[in-house]
Amino acid sequence: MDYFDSLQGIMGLELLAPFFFGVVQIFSLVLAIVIRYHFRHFSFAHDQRAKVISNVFLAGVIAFFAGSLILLIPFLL
Amino acid sequence: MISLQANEHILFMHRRHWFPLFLVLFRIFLGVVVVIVAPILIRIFIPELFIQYSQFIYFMMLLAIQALWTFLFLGITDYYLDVWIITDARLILVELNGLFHRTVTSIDYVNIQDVSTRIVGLIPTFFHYGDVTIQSAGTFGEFTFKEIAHPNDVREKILKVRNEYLSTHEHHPAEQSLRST
Repeated sequence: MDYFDSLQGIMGLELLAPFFFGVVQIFSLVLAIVIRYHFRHFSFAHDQRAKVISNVFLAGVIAFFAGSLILLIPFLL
Repeated sequence: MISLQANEHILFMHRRHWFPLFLVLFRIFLGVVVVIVAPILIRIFIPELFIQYSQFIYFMMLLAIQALWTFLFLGITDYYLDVWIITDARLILVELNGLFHRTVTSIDYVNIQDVSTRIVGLIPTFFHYGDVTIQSAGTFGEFTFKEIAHPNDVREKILKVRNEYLSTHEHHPAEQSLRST
C-alpha cells in the first residue's frame, strides 16, 4: 500500500497506465509480426493450420489492444 | 517457405510429443488463474485498495492476460515449427531455438551413418517420447531431434526409408546399408 502510494506519487496512474499499456502493446506487436513471419515463411504453402494459428494470434492481439485501449481512456481523461 | 525438390515426396512428418507442449500450456493456464484470483483476493483482504484502484486493477488484469496470450503463442510457434520431414530423398530437420535462431538441415540418406534413440526419465518412458540422433558422415556431424513421439518407431522408419533409397540409387561401395536392430 505504501509502496503503491509512493509509486503513484512519483508517476500517477495517468502516467503509469499508458506506460504499462505501451510496454505490453509493443511487446505483443513485435511478437505478432515475428510469429506471423515465421508461420508464413517457414511452413508449407498448403499448411492451412499454420495460417489459422497465426490469424488467431493476431486477432487476439488486436482484440486485447482494443479492450485495453477502452480501459485506458479513463486514465487519459 | 519449405520447398521440396522435383519428384520428392513427403513420407512422414514428425513434431515433438504433445506432453512438452502441454507443460507450456499448463504454465500459461496457471498464470491466467493467478491473474484472475489475485484481484479477488485483493477485494477480500484489502477492500479499500480495491475500491480505490478497481479500474487500474482491471486494466492491469487485461494487460497481464494479453502478455500470457503472447507467451502462449510463443510456445505454440516453437512447438509447431519444429518439424522433422522424412521424404523419399532426404531428411529435413527444422528447428526453432528462440524466435530469431532457426536451423534448417537437410541430410541425404547417403550421408546417414547411424540413427540412435534416447529415452531418459520417468515421464518420457511413460508417455513414449525421447530424442532421436542422426550421426551423419563427414563434417555434417550429429543432429538430434528432441522430445519426439515414439522415437524407436521413427528410427525404424528412417532406417527403412534409407535402406530403400540406397537399394534403388547408386552409392559409394563403402556405404553399407544399416540394419534395423
